[in-house]
Amino acid sequence: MAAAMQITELLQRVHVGDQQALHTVIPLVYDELKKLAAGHLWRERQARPLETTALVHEAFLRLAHGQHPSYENRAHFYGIASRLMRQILVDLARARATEKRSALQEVQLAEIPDLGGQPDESLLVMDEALERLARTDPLKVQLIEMRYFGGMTAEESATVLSLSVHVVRRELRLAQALLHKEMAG
Amino acid sequence: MNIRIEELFHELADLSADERARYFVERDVDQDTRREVEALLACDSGTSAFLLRDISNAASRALPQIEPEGWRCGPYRLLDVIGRGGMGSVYLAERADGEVTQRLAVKVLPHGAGDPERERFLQERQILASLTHPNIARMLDAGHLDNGQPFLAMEYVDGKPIDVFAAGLTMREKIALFRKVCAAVGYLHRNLVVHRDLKPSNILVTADGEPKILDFGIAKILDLATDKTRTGMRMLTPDYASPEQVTGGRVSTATDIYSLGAVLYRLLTGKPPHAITFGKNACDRLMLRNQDESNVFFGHETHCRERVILGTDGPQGFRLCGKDLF
Repeated sequence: MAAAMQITELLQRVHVGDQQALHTVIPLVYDELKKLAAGHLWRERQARPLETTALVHEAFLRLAHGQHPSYENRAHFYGIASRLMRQILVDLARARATEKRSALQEVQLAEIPDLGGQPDESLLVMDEALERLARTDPLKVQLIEMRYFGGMTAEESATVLSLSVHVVRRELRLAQALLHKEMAG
Repeated sequence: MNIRIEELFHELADLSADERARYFVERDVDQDTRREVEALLACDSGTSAFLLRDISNAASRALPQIEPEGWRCGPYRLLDVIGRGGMGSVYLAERADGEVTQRLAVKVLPHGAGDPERERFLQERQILASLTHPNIARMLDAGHLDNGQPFLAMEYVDGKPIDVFAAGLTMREKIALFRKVCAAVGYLHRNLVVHRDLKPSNILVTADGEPKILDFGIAKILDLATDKTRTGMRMLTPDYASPEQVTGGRVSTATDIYSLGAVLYRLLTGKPPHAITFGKNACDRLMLRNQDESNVFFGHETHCRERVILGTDGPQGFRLCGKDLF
């Protein structure tokens, strides 16, 4: 596939700040992540806990298609995927919250297990807090996305953001405290 | 974010409480700044654990909703989700093996479904396999995926829910349409099948006006010895569910008759049959509502409705209905 062959080149262009390349990569990564999540669930009858990190890494392996992009390109990929992972999860949580509201007409009898689970209030609260934080400090939000939605190491984040590892660790710690405070209201 | 507060946070993050207090005094930090930094430091511990937990919980809840678009299911390729329920999603699908061009509806047991759901799914397939009626969506195929998930392929009904379709019809046309549905339900009952979930969204009408009954996900084969079966564990749509389903009583063919009455009410009045929230005395209210609103109907239609509503009382009602409507 053309898309698979291009990904390393696209990432290289993202690395040097090419916005056009970024806009080409985003839908590719988004689709791959969703497809993988679906495939994962489709195959595994026993649903094991889902790790977004594993999905992000698998998406990379598939899109890279046997090629071995540089460490920098891979870090960039994870950076993009982290943001998209957050978007996917929040979109789904929001859709489900809406579904739940419209399902108020339906009465649920006690015996049936709710296959859908509970609404993802905590994720939506987190998302709103991140949005507020992003207005004053987008870098910190990026650090949180990379660490928690993409499972990136401090070294990988440092590469993508052109920061020292020390600064990444320090800022992430502060970002976490700020988010925690923001979520606590 | 105040730069000074950030700097203080970094400076103090790894110090003990005593050391922090001393720092504030030595550097002559004002009270407001101190309070803000301390609030931030209080949020420092254990943060990563709660973030990871929330995200991982959210992921394992949210991601199963992603539909496997383009996935192969036996000889079929899934194209789009056309319905989703506790008992699995229904997809618009096409034949992907090149034998013939065909569009159909494929229903797959969701991954992670428990044994009771699996059993019910297999039963639904079995029930559908035994039915042939122009107003009941036909089953076309059944199979298993490699991982053991069963699926079934059905006729794809490109239609509108009966209440939507009927909105523009005359009273006489509505009754004629409804009679076709009754005929199909009569066929089900003669084959000892109770649908148990009759409602407008499960009765689609094609462009040429043929109603088709869908979704036998909670249908039951009647026990011959008693002609009754126990209400299953399930989601109910209160507007169309019978009192015995709400209270967990025994269901019979009269259960479907009750739902037909509710559907008819909807068709004739355009209103949901009972826009009420279920409480302790739900069934009482349900029946009271029916009595209160009996004057909504007129002429021949009142006659129909009375017979249908009598279905709430059990087998006797069914007999009356059977005579007048089927």
